[in-house]
Parts: sequence; C-alpha cells; structure tokens
Amino acid sequence: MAERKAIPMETRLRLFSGASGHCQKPDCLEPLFPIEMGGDKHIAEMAHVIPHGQAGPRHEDRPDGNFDPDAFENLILLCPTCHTKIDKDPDSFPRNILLDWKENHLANLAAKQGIRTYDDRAEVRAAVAGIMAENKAIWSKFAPEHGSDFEYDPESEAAKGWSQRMRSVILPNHYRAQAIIKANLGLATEGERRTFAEYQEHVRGLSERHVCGVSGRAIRFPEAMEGLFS
Amino acid sequence: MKRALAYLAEQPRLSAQHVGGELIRIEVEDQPEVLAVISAANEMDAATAASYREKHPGMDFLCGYRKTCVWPGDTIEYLQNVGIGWGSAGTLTSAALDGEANTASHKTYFFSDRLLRQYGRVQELTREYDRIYRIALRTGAVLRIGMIADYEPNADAVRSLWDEFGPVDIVWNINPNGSPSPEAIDAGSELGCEVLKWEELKERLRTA
Repeated sequence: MAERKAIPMETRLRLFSGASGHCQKPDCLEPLFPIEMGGDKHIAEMAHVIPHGQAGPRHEDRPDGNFDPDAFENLILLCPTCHTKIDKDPDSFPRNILLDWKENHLANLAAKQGIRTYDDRAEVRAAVAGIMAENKAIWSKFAPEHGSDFEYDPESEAAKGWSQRMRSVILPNHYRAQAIIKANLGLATEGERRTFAEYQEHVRGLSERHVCGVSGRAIRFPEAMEGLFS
Repeated sequence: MKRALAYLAEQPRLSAQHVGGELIRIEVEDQPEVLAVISAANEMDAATAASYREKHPGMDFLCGYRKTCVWPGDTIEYLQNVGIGWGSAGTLTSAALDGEANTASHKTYFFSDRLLRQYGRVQELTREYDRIYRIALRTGAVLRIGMIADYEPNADAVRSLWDEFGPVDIVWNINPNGSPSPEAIDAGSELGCEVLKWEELKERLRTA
C-alpha cells in the first residue's frame, strides 16, 4: 500500500488561517484552541471532503480528471465531533454542503459573534453590553492594583490568572466589541466616534502589553465607553 | 482625617469613629476593637511614631494615610517591637477585618519582605526603608535593592527612586501583574542598576 503524504505546511497554514480558529461547521463554530487547554493547543482535524480511498465517505462525488485529495480546496477544518458526524453520515453531508460551509465560514462566524449592522442604537448597545460586562467582571476580580484578588505578591497565582484571561477572554472580547461597533459607526454621534477611537487605542496598548510583552504604552479605558449608544 | 474616615466608611463589616486628634476607633463584628492613629506624615520617622505611642498608649496601628508616605527601617523595627501594626489605609482595613492590627505590616511590601527574608541565599538583611533593603548573600556579595510597586514602572519611577533613596544595585518591580517599560530598564542601565521582576531577581541572587 502506498504511503500517504503529509499535507503540506502551506496548505495547513492556509486552512487554519481561513478557519480563524473555529470549527467550520456553521451550527458548531466551536473554538479549536479551547480556553480549557490554555488557548495554545488545538483540537482541529483536517477533514477530507473527498477521501483518498475508493470506499471512504463521499468517494462517489470525486470529480473527473486529475484530483489531489490533499489540496486546500478539498480540506475543511473541523472539531473532532463534527468530523465524526460528517464521515459517519456522508449522505447528509455531501461535497457541495461542506464546500458551502467553508465558503461562508467567516460570514457565519461574524454573524454568531453579533457582528452585523443593526437598525437602531439600542440594538448595538445590547450587542456590546454583554461582552463589556464579562470583561468588567474579570477586571473587578483580577485587575492590577484594583482587583478584589489583587495582592502585591510577586508569586501571585491571581496574577497568572489575569494574564491568561487577558489573552484568552478580555482581548478576544475587545476585538469582537470593536468589530460590532465599527459595523455600526453610522449610528454613532461625533463624540462617540472619538470615544471609539480612544477605545481602539486602549486595546492596541493592551495587545502590545499582553501579546508582544511591551509595557507602558496602553492608555486607560475611556470611561465614556460605558455610555456608548445609550 | 475626614478622607480616612470616609474611606473606612466604604468598607463592609466595619465602622469607624473619630476619638480625637489623629486617633480613631474601628469596630468590626467578631474582631477586637482597633485604636488607630491616622497620620498625614510624608515620612514616618521613629521619633514621630514614639510620640504617637506616648500620646495614645492604647494604639494598635499606625496608619500613614498618604500614598506617598515613606517608612524608615528604624520606625518599622520600633513599631514591630512594641506590638503596633503599621502601613497604609488599605493595610489598616485588612488588618482590622482579620483581627491582626497589632502585627500587620504594610500590605504593599509584606510578600516581598517575606520572600527576601526566606530566600535561602540571603544571609543577612537590613531594611533601610519600607522599600529599600541591603542584603548580604552567603557568597559574600552585598546588594542594595529598591522596590517599586507600580503596575508598569517608567523611567521616571526608576529615577525618582534613585533620587529619593540613593543608588541601588537592583530595582525590583514587585507588582505581580505588570512589568517595567523598556524606558525604565534603559534608565536603570544608565544609572547603573538592573530593573527586574521576581523570577529574574531570583536568578540574579542565585548567581551573585
């Protein structure tokens, strides 16, 4: 039996970046780098839409002519549960459905995160409020010098929790809130646009601090954000 | 005094009354009553601490209410020897709630002080100020260490520590959540000291 070649690194990178770290099945979209695993290990599986063999799921959909099963166009990134589902029941998950999922993945992801344009300011506020409330709750507990669990303890476990949550929850939440606000800036006042610009600068500083390890650049969270779209 | 009482009034499970002068009484459910002196001193020298004790013999805690308040080492030693707690308003609150007002020490420096005292390679330790230590290692090396509690100390914080307390070999950023800015590290390097976090300091003490 011929040995199967590994999927090239370029294809893997393209697949992972296209999936943005989430299962590409539209009613799943689960994170493939789970917070429970520290956020830096993945559970992603590269699933073949058309299999290598003649007996695998959807083999009858193989196109005519030269066909490379390991090409980017024939792969989809899934969580282990969805991978099992689509291969166990190929009739319910034909080739065109899987390729459609992949094509619309980013739009599905954005919709799930509430990133869309709304008709009125109250809806935008509601979409952002839950995200901000989660960040504030974490801040209240762990924040430097102000959090209820903060102590000037150089060996503090709470400090490790703050750093981990900053990268896995607070920053992703900020990116999501920014995307929602940006999509709805047409409903914002001039003052709110300025506040949003300050907020973006605050998040840039946080990223620089917690992702790139460069301290001292972040500006404070603008208080006026509390009243945005109210 | 008004600000101190207002701060204490915000704390749950605790009530505070002005007794007279700089003395207040704090009551906490299920904990002993605390008599505390609230001082506005910028530097709490030992003579001032002794005069407070003379004036208020029942004093349990001496609180330097100002954020800028500095505690010289001999003041700390004196207060600890006579069973009086010392530190910031936050330290006073925690100490009263825990029933430890007579033994509490400034909460900003408590953990760092304990880390240095318990670090095996440190043979002798002298506390010059609440945030300045001179330590002698078992290898014979002597180091002067200054602590900065800021979240992200900048160059100014390093230079101010140097101006106020004199040259140090190491500036230790004791805030567990932050780290010094690149400018703070550069400023330290120009002055002739290293600006370190605990893990780096441990390594430095291991090899000094």
